[in-house]
Amino acid sequence: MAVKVLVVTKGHGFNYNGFYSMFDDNPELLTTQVEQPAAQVLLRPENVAEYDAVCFYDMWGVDFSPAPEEYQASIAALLESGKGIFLMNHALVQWPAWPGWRELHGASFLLREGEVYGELTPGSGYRGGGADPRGNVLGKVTPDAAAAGHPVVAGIEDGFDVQDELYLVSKVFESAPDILPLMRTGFPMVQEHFNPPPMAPQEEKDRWDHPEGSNLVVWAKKSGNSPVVATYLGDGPGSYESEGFRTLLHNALHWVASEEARAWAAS
Amino acid sequence: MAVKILVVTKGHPFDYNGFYAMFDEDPELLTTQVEQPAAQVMLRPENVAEYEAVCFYDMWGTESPDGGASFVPAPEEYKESIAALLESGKGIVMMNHAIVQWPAWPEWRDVSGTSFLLTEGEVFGEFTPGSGYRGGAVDPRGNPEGTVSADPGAAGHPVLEGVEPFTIEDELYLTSKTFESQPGILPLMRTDYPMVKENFNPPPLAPAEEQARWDHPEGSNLVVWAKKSGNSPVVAMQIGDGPNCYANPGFRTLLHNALHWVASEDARAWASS
Repeated sequence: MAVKVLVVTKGHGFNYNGFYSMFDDNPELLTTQVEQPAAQVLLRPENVAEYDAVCFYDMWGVDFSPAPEEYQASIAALLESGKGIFLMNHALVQWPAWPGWRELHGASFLLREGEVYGELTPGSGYRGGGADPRGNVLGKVTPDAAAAGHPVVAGIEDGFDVQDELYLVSKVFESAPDILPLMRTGFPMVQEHFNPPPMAPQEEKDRWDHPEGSNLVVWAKKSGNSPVVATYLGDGPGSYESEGFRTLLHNALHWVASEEARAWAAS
Repeated sequence: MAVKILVVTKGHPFDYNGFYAMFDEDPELLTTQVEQPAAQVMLRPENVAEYEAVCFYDMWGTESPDGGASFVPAPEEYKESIAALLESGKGIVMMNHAIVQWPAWPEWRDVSGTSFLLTEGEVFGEFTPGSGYRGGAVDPRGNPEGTVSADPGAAGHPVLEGVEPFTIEDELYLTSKTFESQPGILPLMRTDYPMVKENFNPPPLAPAEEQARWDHPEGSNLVVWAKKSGNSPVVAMQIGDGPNCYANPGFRTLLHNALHWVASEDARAWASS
C-alpha cells in the first residue's frame, strides 16, 4: 500500500539525486517535496491534511532565531491530529531555540553546550558528512532487543552496514518517557572518533569534552497523538544507497502512517 | 541584487543535482522549491505574494485516460490562482517541459504563447500536427547539438546581457512557427540546429496511429522568447532539459538574467504597455 508523504528540506546541503532516488525508486512512497520556508505554509492544518505522513529533512532556525508563532501552532496541531512523522539526520538538529521541536523527536543533540533533560550537557560531536577529513564511519546498525517484532525493523532483523555521518550525543534521552529504542550502531561512540560541535564558539570547541555517547540511532516516540520515528542516520549517499536503510525508511513511513502506530502514540 | 524565486517542479524526471546547482551556485537567485500538487497551494495569491518571480519546471496535467484523445482538466482553484498571478504582474520564467503541460487548459498556452502540441490540434487558428522532440533521456539518437544566439531584434535586451552565442547538446522540440508572429511575443534567441522533421521523433503521448502518420513542416528555431501575459512579463525557453544545459555558463547567464528581468519594474512596465 502506498503512503502519501510530504518531504520537507532546505538548510543543509545534500546529494539531491541520491536522496530523492530513495523515494522515486519506491512506488509505495508517494512524495511531494517542499523547501523551507514554504513548508510552513504546507504544514498548516488545512494544507497538510491530505498527507499520510511528513518526512522532515530540513535544517532551519539554526541561527537560534525563534520559530514563527504560526509555525509552532501548525506543528502543535500536527501532533494533536496524530499525523505520522519521520525525521532524519540534520532535521533533529534544527530549531535549537524552540524546545517544542526537541520534544517532538526527543533527541539529546545540542549545537552547543546547554541543559537537556535537566542536565548540563556538552555540545554534540559529529563525524563524517561532506567536509570531514577523517571521512564517514562504518558501523553495523542492528535492532535493539526491545524492538523485536516491531514493524519498523521488519526485514532488517539482522541489521545492515552503513557508512555515514554520526553524531555524538548524550545517552540521557534513551530513558526519557515515550522513547522506544529501535536500532543501535556498533560504532564506538567515544570522543576520540568525533569532532567538536561546529557551530559552538571557538573556546567551547577548544575545551570540548564529551562522555561516551548514545549508540541509539533509530527510535520511536509518542509525541502528542503522533507516532514519530527519528534517526541520526541519513546524511549522505552511504545511507541513501543502503538497501537496509531504504527498508528502514520504507517501514518507518508506512508505520507512522498506520492506525496501529496512532493507537500506540495515543496509548 | 538577489531575487526571491518560487521554483515549481514534478511530473517529468530531471537531474536534480544539475538543475539545483544552477540556483545553489548563484547567490543572486534565492530559490524556494515546491513540487506539484503542493505548488498549487503556494501559488495562491496570499502565499505567492512574497516571491518576486516564479520559475516553472513542472509537467502536470498531461495524464490522458483515453490514450491521447483528451487530457485531464486543471483544477478550477489553480486556474484562478494563475489568473490572479498574471493580474498581479508577477514575473514568470518557464523552461522546457513546463511549456508542454496542461494541454487541456488553453489559458496555460496563453501564459507562454508556445505553439507546442502534445497531439495534433488547432493552435492559433490553424490545424497543426503534434510537436516532435529530439533528445532527452531516452532518445537513441541522443541530444541534438546547436548554437543558440540572439535574435537581431533583441539587441540590447537585458535578458541577453553578457550572453554570447552558446553551444549546447540538449533536447529540442519541433513546433509550428505560427507563434512567433503572435501579439505580445518578443523573440530573444534562436538555435541553428536544423528544425526539420527528419531530425525529430513523433509526439510521444499522441495515439499510436497519429505517431505512425506523423508529418511536420519545418519548425520554429525560436527557443527563447519574452511574452506579455496579462500584467506579467514572461520569459519562456524550450531549452533546459538536461545536464549539458544546466552546466553551460551561457545558459546559466540567460537563466540569471531572465529571472532578474521578469522580477523588475522595467519588465512589468513592458508587460502592461
